[in-house]
Amino acid sequence: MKILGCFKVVPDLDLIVEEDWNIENHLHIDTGYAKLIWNCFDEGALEMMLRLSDLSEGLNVVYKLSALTIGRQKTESFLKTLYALGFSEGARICVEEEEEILFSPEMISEGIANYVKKIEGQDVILTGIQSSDGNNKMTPYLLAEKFGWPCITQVIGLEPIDEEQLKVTSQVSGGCIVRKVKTPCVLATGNAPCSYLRIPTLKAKMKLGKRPVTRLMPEDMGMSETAESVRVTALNPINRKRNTVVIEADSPQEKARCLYEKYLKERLSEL
Amino acid sequence: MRYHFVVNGYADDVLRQMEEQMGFAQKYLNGMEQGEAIIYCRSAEDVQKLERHHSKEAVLISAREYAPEAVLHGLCDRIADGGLYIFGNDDAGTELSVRMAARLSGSSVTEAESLWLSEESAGDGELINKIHVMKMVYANHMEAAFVMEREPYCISLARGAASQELRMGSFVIKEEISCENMAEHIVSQEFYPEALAGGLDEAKVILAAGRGVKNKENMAVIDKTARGLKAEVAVSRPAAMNAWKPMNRLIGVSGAMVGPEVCITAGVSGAAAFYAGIEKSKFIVAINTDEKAPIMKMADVAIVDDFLPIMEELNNICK
Amino acid sequence: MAIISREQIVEGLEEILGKEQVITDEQVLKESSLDRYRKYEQVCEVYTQPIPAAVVYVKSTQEVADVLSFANENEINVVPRTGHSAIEGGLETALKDSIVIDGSTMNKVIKVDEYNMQVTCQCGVPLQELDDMLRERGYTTGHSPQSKPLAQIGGLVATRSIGQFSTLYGGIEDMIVGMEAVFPNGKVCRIKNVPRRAAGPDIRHIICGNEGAICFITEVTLKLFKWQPQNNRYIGYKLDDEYMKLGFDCLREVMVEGYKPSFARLYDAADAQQHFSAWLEEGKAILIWMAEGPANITPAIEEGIKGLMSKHPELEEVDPALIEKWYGGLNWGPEQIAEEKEEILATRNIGITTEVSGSWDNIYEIYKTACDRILEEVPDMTLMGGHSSHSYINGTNMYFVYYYNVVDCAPEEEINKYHDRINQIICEQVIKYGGSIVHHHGLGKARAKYVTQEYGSSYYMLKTLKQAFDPNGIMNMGTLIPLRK
Repeated sequence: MKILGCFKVVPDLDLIVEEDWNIENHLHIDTGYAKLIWNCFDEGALEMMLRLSDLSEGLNVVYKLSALTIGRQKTESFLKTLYALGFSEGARICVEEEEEILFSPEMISEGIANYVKKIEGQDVILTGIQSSDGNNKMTPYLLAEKFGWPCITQVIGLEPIDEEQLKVTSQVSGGCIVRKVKTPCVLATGNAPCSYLRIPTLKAKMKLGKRPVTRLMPEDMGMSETAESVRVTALNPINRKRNTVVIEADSPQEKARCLYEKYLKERLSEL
Repeated sequence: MRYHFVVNGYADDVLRQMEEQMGFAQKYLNGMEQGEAIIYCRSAEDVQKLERHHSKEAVLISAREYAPEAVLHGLCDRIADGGLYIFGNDDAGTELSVRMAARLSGSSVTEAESLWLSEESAGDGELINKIHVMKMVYANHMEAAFVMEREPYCISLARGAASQELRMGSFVIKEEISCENMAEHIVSQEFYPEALAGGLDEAKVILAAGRGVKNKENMAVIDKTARGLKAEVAVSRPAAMNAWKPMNRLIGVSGAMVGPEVCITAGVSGAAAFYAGIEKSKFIVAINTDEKAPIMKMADVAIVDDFLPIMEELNNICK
Repeated sequence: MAIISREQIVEGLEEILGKEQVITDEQVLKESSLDRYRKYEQVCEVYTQPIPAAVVYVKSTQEVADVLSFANENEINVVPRTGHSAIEGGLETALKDSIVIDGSTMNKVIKVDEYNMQVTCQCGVPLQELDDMLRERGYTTGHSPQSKPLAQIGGLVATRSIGQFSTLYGGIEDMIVGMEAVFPNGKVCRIKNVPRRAAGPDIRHIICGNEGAICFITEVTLKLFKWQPQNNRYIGYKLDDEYMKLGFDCLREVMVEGYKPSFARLYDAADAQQHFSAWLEEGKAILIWMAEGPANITPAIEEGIKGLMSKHPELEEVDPALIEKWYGGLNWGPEQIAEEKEEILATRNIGITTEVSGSWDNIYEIYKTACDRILEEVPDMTLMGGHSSHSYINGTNMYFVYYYNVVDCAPEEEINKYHDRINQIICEQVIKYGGSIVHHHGLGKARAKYVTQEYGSSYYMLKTLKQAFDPNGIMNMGTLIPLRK
């Protein structure tokens, strides 16, 4: 079974300095200096693929794992890490400007779809449910529509069955559903319990991580002519400071009464 | 242009989702004409049982089990005109809004916070309406405005929007489209309910005690007041390390990360690790003898005083 | 070891402090039996060290004196603690039925003396809170270790801590003025606050760096400095990893020419990718400086450093805004520790550091040979690298950074299979080439076994100090001086 993990490499937003969140009149934030990390949901998806492969040991099913990312040159070291962990294919669609892929789920899904159609056919496509920067929450669903494949969302676990079927666990309100699913399908990964990707040893990197990454151009993947049906028009900072009101009164009892009457009573009664 | 609510009749919290749809429409869709609701559900009976409605008429798309492919089939078959489709705030709402827009060559935005219309002149001098939507991006660090270019406009709502009370009485069901056996890719499925998490994660009101509470006996006062306020008791790390409460009551990065409606802190200094755990609270009250404690700037309301008489008095009031 | 029972210890402590200040909750005791040296055991919640009899929270110098006297009379091992951020085993309770004396409740800032430029505080004042408060007034302690969000003044002085801006302000030993400490027999000693003295040996250094093995620090007076971040200048250069030797020489040149930047750092390529992966090519090392101080000084330092570096064609200048923003976004604290725990549990991959120092003529050999040996001898390594972050006129430090996968190994075995082995290689290489095996984290218990090699003939002085002040052997046994097996 051929499985493609689509992932995005994102800046670690915890490292963005305060003033960069407070800019106005820009349609993206300068994150160019922040450390690059796996988008968390995608990281979970990739680890899930590796665990699926681990579980298949001794079973009569072989998983061929591939990975695809869209982004700048620096993302290739992530693909090489995946090589070192046992992925057999790694490809990058070369988009060097971060902002071009920030609010462009239609373009992204077109690129992924063309990779699958033109370069490497797949039985299953895994993606994270959303990226931490764009927060579009659209790519897996758009892929399902492009291929006419079914989609399962909030996937948190995968287990092998045979060459045509997978056991898929997904989270739903109040619990989880375990399904036997026929491929092909698109799986959108949510809060998987295995959200961290394992780390290859330096020896594995030396041995497996040297293979070149397949580089593809966005124009060859149909991305240049894709127009988004939704356009970003403004980006606004959010003010999180709470304007603290200090309750003044002569006695603690009075302060407590004031707190209750003015601030708590209504809020508590609404619950 | 008309707007339609699309309702997840399978969801346990369907009424809350409908209330938020109502709230959204009341706030942002004033003056726009409302069309029938579309409800995907197990059966007409389920919809009748709600005994509430937020549009007069409804079209049902029914199947015993929820499968997005089946709902989409019914949904897209049914929709002839453009318009605005407002989906609920759950995963199904998000998925369906995106896929419906893709299937009908429309446009979609997920987790919308607000919406407004602008008038723009089309080439021939005629005025057309454009739909703009606001949503959180960059992991809640910023808010972005989007303009939607193509009809039908499909949006799902952000969680925690303002809600509006529903009207009593049931929907008038115009039509029921059965979409049974449409999910051929599912060979079998089984639902495993989760034991209710309860405790701190779900709490609406939290009373959090810190080192300033001083000892275990004073913790008993906190417990008493918490019962009066119907609050869950939580503690900061120093208080947990003093064994005033078990570790599963710990709030902060090494414990629970909570977002209650009201969070009252008593004798908490407001260390970063603790504050990260309560940052998502809608309303924060800080009670501390030290006016310079960091928590005092991070709360909505602060009281500079000993927590004990405050707790006693709150308890008296609640009685 | 204690001559009374565990129950009697608790009773005795409760008599002195009252029940409220004596904690015997099992989970608290377990967490108090170790520090971040046994990080893997800690995240796996496996406790291999003797569990202490009690953790006591003290509120005054008198209470410290009373508890110490009680312990001294009954020969109970005592581990002094404040912020609990130690990472070399200094807080492990190595003997049965120890008492952990926690000074974090002595957290008052006693006096900010802006005229004499010094601040006096109790041992439990968190450095972060102190420095934030001072910065609001336009001052700083100049002390900014990575442990700042956790560490408290007593522990910082006890371990001879150093901060990121040490090249300008020095280590904590250069910042302390006077102190108060309590010795095992209950004797309280105050060293007064004066700008300098030559009345015999500087006895402050019996206290500073004692790691809780000689006395309990209750109060510290530190120097103040003006805080003027608006004048900060940043300078950065990248270079191929194979030019690390040149990198050390660049650090040296700046020091030797007499410039006083506040930080001066050299990261090798492996470590640099952990910080600058967004824009720094793989295989590139990086040199960075920050100049701090009055507005007319910092541009001069910047210009001077750039002038020196311009003579090296191997260096390529980096946009200083990238360095400034990296610095601005640097954060480490309880949140990161909590996240790290999850990550370690999920991936069984763990990252640890060891810091040493060397002279200009041996630091490169120490760095290179230790890295090479570790890669050769230790299995499952996923990252091996390091940086120099504190420079002096005569040498610099090396902060080894290493990650490995814990493979086929129980939590209680990890320390032997990996951490101690790596530590040992580093210490061996440092001793071989003539550096110091500890730059600023303390000897703790982890490196105490190398103490005689580190000290040579001067070990006599350390041992005599310990025997003189702690004749009953109750102060943090196993720290500084290893326990006899």
